[in-house]
Amino acid sequence: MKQLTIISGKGGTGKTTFSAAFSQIASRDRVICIADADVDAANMHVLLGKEGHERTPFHGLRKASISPDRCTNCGLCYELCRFDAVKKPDSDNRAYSVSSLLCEGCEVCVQHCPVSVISSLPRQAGWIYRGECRFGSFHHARLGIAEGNSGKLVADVMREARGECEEKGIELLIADGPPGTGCPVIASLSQADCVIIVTEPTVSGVHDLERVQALAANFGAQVGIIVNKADLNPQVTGDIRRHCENSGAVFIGEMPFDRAFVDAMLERKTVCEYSPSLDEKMTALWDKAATELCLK
Amino acid sequence: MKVVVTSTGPDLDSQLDERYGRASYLLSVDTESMEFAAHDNSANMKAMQGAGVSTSQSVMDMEPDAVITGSLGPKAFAVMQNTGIPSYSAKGVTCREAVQMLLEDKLQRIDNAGGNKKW
Amino acid sequence: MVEPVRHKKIAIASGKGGTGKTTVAVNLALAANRELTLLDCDVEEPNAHLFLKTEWNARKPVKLRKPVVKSEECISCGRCAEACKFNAIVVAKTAMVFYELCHACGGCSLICPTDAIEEEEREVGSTRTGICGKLTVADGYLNVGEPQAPPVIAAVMEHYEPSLPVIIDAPPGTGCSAVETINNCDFALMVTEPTPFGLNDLELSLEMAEKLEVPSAVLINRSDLGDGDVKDLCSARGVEVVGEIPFDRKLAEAYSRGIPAVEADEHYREFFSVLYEKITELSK
Repeated sequence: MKQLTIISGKGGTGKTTFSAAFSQIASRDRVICIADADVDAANMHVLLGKEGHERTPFHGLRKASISPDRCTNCGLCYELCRFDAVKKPDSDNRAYSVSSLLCEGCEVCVQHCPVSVISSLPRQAGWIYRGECRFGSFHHARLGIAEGNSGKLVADVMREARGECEEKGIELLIADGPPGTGCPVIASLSQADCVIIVTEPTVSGVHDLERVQALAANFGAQVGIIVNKADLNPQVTGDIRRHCENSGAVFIGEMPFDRAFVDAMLERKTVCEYSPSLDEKMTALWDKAATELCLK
Repeated sequence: MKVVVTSTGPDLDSQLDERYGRASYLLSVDTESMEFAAHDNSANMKAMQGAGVSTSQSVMDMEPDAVITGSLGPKAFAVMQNTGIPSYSAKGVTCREAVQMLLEDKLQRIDNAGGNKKW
Repeated sequence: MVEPVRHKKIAIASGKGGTGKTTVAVNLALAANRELTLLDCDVEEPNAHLFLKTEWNARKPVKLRKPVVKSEECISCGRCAEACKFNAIVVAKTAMVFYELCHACGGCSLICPTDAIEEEEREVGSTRTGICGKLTVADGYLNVGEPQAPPVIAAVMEHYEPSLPVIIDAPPGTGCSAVETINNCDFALMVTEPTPFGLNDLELSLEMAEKLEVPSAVLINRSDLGDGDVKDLCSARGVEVVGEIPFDRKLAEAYSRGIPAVEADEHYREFFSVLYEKITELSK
């Protein structure tokens, strides 16, 4: 089984549009599994649908909780917490208390409370969804509002998707990854065999490309690069192409700016479903990616 | 000799799990009697991070003479190097077959971190 | 005696990436045409500096206290590994630390019975400060491979100067990084686009702001590329739409070269200066 993760560094480059289109094209000649690992802003379901999907609760990191009745107000937890998550007693709370927003789940306070009145409680922090869509089985999630911890949720979604692939002998998993370079991206990349970076020919696109490419290299994944909206700055597109040659990444190709990307989305369609000419262009990019990144 | 094998199931005839940190079970096998104990590795498998590191801790606690798995990631490899417990690579076989192959000296010793390198 | 003014912290945020959040933050700061602090808290992908000719005058590492094992004093008891919830420390012959997994909670050194674990400051990122015309600019970089953005974000936030107005470029999304930033702000301007993706993510961002009790307003970028659902959402939730920017290819091309909108076209200077007044008023 192979895992392809599609990322971008910078947001808004068209990553999800490409992920959905590539999922459709790949599904024409094989069974695939799709994962939306961009759980902070999960969007794949807008195009692929989520009706009838079965959901299971997601438990984030355990969070500390102080039982106020038995707290002796010694303040040791307040001193030990490195995340400023313990609040001193005030007019609302007569004992020390923990802000679940700031608690990192390290359990230092739990382990050191002299009267053992701090416990660590599991906490539901979102939902994991699993179901079928028109291109194959589809795993996605919804992070609870202001829950943080999206890295763990990404790890859980990826584990479920990989589990299904192994169970059913599905050979290809396509994951739509999160933006940035932190925890969530790391979780979406950690078991990827290859990575496609969808970038754009802008100063920010290039800046973020270099950072995210360095991250992908840490995981030993083969990297391919696509430039979306390439005609907005042909010169920078050329620079990215040369950058690929020098950095060992595969330059898969480019796509011009096209309003049809938005128009397709408005109809909840992939660009391949919306426009035959975009289908042709996307298929050519996919064929090159699949060949160069050993996904055939 | 005592050998720990990463396994997809709780008995010797289960397929060997090529994933180390994300293995479903750890089987601790006495190679003389072929008696074994299965350890459920799901807590390590589900860890958000450092599954290889925490699995290594579980493996060490069993005090084996050798470990058989698919490959080791960089962190797990560093830990196993430090312990001095040799690790061996096997693929596409059952746990029983893997132990047999080790006894017949047919397995390759893992001498670099290959968990993330697929090419 | 006159109370010293404490300017409100205004975050420019977005659910979805690439909606124009950085463009809005930079151009608001430039169009305000007064002394002002611009903080780029998107430390995973800090981009504001690409549009500003900033003279950097300081770089400061962001360090966290992480464990170092004195192997001669380690008795391999394993209590540190048991205490660590992040699997960042393991006891083989002696304890070994994996820094990229370590959250710097201090638990291992506290629990070690032989005091074999000391702590040393290790760099996880950095912040920079500089001057660009009337602007004081600060941004932060999370080192690539480091998982935890919040300490770097907090370090950027330390450059907030209450006597000056401040514009904060927030990280996208609704995860740890966005929460860390928005939670420390007084007002959030959500930049979105009127597409189904934009709508979906805007809804999550507005819910986040509501839960953090931070008042918000919405700016619709590329307002002619999409439909009316975003506006419907805003009116249903009682959130004000403070402006709309139609798609402009010239602007997109200027952006690609790192030229801010207010310099590409005078009409944007006017637009952002009006917007600046509006959100300053709203955030009071």
